[in-house]
Amino acid sequence: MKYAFFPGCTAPFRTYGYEVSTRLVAKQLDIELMSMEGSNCCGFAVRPIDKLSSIVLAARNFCLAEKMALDICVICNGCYENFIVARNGLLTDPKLRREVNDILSEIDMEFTESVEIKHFARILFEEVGISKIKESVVSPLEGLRVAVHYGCHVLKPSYELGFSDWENPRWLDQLVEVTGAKSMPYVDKMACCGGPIMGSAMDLATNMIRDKLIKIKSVNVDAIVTICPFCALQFDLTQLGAEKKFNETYRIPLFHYPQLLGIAQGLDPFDLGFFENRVNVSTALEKVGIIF
Amino acid sequence: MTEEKVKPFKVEEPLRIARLDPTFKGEIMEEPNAELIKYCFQCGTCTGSCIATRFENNFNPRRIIKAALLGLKELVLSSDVLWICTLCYQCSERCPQGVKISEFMEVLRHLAVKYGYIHPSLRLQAEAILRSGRVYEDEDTANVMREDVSLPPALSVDMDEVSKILNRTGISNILLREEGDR
Repeated sequence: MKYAFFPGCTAPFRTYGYEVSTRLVAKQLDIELMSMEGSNCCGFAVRPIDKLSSIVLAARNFCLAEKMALDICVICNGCYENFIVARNGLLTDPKLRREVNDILSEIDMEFTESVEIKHFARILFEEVGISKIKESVVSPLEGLRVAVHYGCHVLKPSYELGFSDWENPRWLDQLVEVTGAKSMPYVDKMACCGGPIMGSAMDLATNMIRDKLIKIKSVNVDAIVTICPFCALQFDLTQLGAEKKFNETYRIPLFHYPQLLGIAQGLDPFDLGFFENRVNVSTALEKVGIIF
Repeated sequence: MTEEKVKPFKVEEPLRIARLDPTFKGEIMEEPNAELIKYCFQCGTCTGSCIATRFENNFNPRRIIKAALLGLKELVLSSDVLWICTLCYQCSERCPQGVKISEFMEVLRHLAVKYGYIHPSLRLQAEAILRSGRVYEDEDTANVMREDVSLPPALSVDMDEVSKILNRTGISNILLREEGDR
């Protein structure tokens, strides 16, 4: 299995533990992640201002992957949604496609439909499969209780992304449970973390994550698991901001999903970048017999 | 810490016809993906599904749609609440009329931008992308941290190519717009 690896902007610059654990877990499962030299922002960041620019930026990345003759593997829900919406637009709107290709011809590129977009977590679930992942687990995380947060843009809009189970999905819970950990149900599990408005309305984003944290805390979990660097920043970094703002204590560690899988595969938590996580993870790791 | 106050989004009643811009609806419909909004019958499923509304009641998708379709152009385009939508698509998924409401919020954002109302945080983001092809620019700091976790240095963006294509989309001209421009 081989993919053009598109880590996006946030993971390589803000959540180092997510990128490094993704790479290590991929290696364990024989997934080759090839660098996309020269790639740019997925386009999500400029979409509110100019849709054409966001599609052109996305399309240039598709062309780079096409040169590598590989599908794209993303690890950010924002990149995932923006890439798929852009690709769908190019496939269904001939006028848009002509316009974008005219711009891309400036750099000798042309959008074709050959490249598909996959999220790393979906690759694990669909391509690798639960049974093969199970074989890779050497130290099951028995007794670890986690709160799963999918993140909106890996599920919705379902009519663009092609999922029917956006309201009550199970696949990420299954990916968690194959490690031996238990996915605990909690109120408003599918609610947005507030990540997309961290820039434009930080106060509101903080209030939103506080609400999720209080609901998660009430079911007594050891960690929160995410598959998006933006959601992760909300749960990890903004958690500290919310503690300060409301003078409350949550202290719920955030695990990037590949970190969770990585420890179950017996990888060294230091190599998995756990020390980069902001909320202290040692109590959670102790629970599964790891001194960190 | 002081809470940033969101400017109230209020449709003044009684409505004064003279304050409504009857051309605004047409202008909205010209935008791509906007035409579905004509099926909105104001049931409020969007607002009931909205997570952001729970925490900021000035953000109310049903009310924004109503104001937009009535022609309260200035109120809608200059409002803070346009930038509060997290684009979580819960409303779009649940609308009984099949209106893509999150997408409609994007349409309104694009119209706001057209009239020079660009949220400062998004302006900064777009400027970063014009300069460096991605949102975060401090490669040196990131690379020190990346080395700590044994990651290779962050890849360089081919800015030569990115500048060429972004010159063609005209995004830098959009960023020059100021409030009230056309």
